[in-house]
Amino acid sequence: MGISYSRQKKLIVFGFLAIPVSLLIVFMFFPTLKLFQFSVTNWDGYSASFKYVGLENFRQLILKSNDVWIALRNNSYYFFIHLLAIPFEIAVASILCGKIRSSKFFQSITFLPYVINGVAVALTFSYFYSPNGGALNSILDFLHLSVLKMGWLSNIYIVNFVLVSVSLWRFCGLHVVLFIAAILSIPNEYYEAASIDGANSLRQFTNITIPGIKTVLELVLFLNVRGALSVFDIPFLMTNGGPGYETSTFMVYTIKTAFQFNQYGLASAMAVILMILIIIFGYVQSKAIKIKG
Amino acid sequence: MKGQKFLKMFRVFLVVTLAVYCMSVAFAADKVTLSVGLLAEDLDFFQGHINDASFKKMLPNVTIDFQQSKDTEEMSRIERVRMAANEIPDVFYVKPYDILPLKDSMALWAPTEKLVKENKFVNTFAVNSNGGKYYGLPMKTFYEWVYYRKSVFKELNLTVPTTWDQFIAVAKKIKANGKYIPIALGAKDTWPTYPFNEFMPHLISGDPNILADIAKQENPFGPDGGFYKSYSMIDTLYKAGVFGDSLGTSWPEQEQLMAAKKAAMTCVGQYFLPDYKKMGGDMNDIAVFPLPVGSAAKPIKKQMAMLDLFWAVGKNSKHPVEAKKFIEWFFSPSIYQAYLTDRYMSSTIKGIDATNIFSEGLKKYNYQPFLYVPGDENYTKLVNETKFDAKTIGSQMLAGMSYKDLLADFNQKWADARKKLGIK
Repeated sequence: MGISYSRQKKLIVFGFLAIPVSLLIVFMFFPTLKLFQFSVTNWDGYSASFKYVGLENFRQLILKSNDVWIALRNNSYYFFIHLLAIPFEIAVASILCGKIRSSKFFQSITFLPYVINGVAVALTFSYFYSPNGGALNSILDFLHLSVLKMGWLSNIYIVNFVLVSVSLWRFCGLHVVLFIAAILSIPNEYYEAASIDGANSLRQFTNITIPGIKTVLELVLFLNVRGALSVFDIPFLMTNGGPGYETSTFMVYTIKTAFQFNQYGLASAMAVILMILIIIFGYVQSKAIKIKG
Repeated sequence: MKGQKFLKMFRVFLVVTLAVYCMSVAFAADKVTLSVGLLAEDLDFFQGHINDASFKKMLPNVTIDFQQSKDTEEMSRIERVRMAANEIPDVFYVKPYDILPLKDSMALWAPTEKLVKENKFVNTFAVNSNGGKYYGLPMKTFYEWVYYRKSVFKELNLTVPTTWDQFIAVAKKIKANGKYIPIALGAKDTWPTYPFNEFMPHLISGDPNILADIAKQENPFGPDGGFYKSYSMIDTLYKAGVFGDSLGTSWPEQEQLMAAKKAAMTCVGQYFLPDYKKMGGDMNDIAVFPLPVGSAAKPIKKQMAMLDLFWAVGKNSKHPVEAKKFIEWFFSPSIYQAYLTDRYMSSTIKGIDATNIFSEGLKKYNYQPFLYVPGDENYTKLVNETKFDAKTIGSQMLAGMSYKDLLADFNQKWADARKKLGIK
C-alpha cells in the first residue's frame, strides 16, 4: 500500500534536483559543448551553415595574430598588479581585525566599491580621468600640481596602469573582506600561546595569520587569475580597448572578433583558449603556494 | 449539504474564470505589439509622435516596443546577435554597410510597392538589391560638414578654408591663441575619426566604388592608393596637435565641447545639430562648411554624403502588414517632414524636402555630393578576415603610430586573406 520509503526518498531527491540540473545543462553544459564545436569551425554567426576547419583557428590565434598577444600583455598588467596588492590587502585586513575604533564602519566602506555596479564604476572613472574638466586634473590644478597633469586615458604608456588602478579600487575591498573573515576564523588561543612564547606581531602574522588564511588565500589567488584573464567592463567602457588595441584585453578582443568582425568560430576558439589559460594558471599557482605553519 | 454548496460555488467560479479568459484572448488577438529597433537619438521623436491621431488612425490596435541602441556600433552589434538568435525586431533600420551581413534577416520589398516607388534612392546601392527587390528603404540622406563657431572665427579673424593646407593653418592659428580647442574629436570612442580615416580615401581617390575595388587588389594600401595618399594628409593634421586630448575625449564630450564653445570646430554629419541644440549650443553662432580636401593646384569640390539607415521588416516577423504600415506612417508627409526638421536631415522621398542650414550650405558652397557606397561581399569577407577598421587606424595614428607601418601590415594581411578566401 503506497510508495516505499526508498522510492519516496528517490522521488524527493529527483524532484528537488531536476530543475537546477536542467538549468545547469541548458545554460552551462550545452553552451560549453557548442563553444567547443564552434571553435573548430569558420562560422560567421549568422549564416545557416559553416565548415569545420580543424585547429586552424587556434593556429591563427597563436601564430599569426599579433593583437591577441597585445591583449594578453594587457591582461598581465591586471594579473601582476593585483598579485602585488595581495600582501597589502592581508595587512589591511589584519589591521581591521585588530582593536581599532570604528573597525566595523571601515570594514563596510572597504567592501562598498565591489557592491557598486561595474558599468557605473567604469563610466564614473571615465569622467574622473577626462582631460576636459575631469576631477583628477581639476584636483591637481587646485593643489598647484598642474605639472603632473597628463592624458590619463590617451597616453599609451600609462593608460593600462590607470585602468588597473580602477580595477584595484573595485576589487581590493572584496579581497580584504574575505581575508577579514579568514583571520577571524583563526582561534585566538594560537595568538595567546604565541604571545606567551614571546612571538612579536610580525612573527605571529607570518607564522599564524598567513598559514591560517591559506584556504582563502588560494581562493583569492584563483579569483585573481580568473578576473585578470576575463577583465572586460573597465577597458571596454573606459577606452573601448583603445587607442587602437593598446588597452584591449583578451575578452574585449574576443567580443570585437565575434560581433564586429563576424568571426564566431575564431571568437569561440579564443574563449576555449581563455578557459585553458585559467585552468593552467590556477593549477600552477596552487602548486607554487606551499604555506606551512 | 455543505459539500454540495461548495461544489456549486466552484462550478460558478470555473465558468466565470473561463469566460474572462476567453474574452481576454479574443481581445488580445486584435492587439499587436510591434518591436521597433532604433537609435537612442531617434527615440524621443518616435515616442512623441506615436500618440498622434495619424498613428492611431493607421495602426489602431498596435502598441510599439522600442528597442534602442546608444550608437550605431552598438546597434550593429545588437542586430547581429539578434539575427543569430532569430530575434530580429519586426521593424528596424540598418547602416548601409550592415545590409550584406544582415540581409538574411530582412524581408524583401517588391518594386511595385508604394513606399519603394516613392523613394528616390532605393536602388542606389547594388547591395540593397536582390533580383529586382530591395532589402531596405533609405530613411534619410545627410552630408558631412565641418561645424564652426562664427564668433570664434570673427574673434580670431579667420576665414573659411577652401583647401586642406588652409584648413590645417586655420586650426594651428586657433591652437596658437590657446583659448579654444581647434577641432573637437571624440577619438576615445574610435568611430568619430571616420570623416578623416574612413571617408577621405573615397574623396581623394575619386572612386565611388573604392571599397569594392580594393577587394580585387593585391596591394590596396600601397603608396598609389587612396588610403595611403589620404592618410599621409591626415597624418599632417594629426601631428599638428589641433585636437586637444582627443584620445581621452568621448563622443558626448566632443558634442559638449562644441556646445559649450570650448572648441572652435568639429567634423561630423548633420545628425550632430539636434544634439548641439539640445545641449544648449547657440544656434545663431553655428555655421558649416564642407571639409576641404583639395589643394590650390588640384581642387576637389566634392562632399561626402551618406544614404543612411535603411528601414527593414524582419523576415520572420509575425506582423509584416503592421510593420510595413509603421514605416508607411513614418514616411507620411506630416511625420516625415517633422522628422527631417527635428533631426536636420535631407529627404529620400519624392516631393518632400527640408529647409535648414545644410540646404543653405549646399547652395552656398556648391560642392558635388559624393555618395558613400558600402563594400561588396568580398570586401566584407576581407575586412572580417583581416580585421581592417579605418577608424581604429585613425585612433592608432593619433596615438603616434606610423600609418606607413600600419598600412604595410594590412597590405600583407589583405594579400594573405585574398589567398585564403580564394578572392580574385
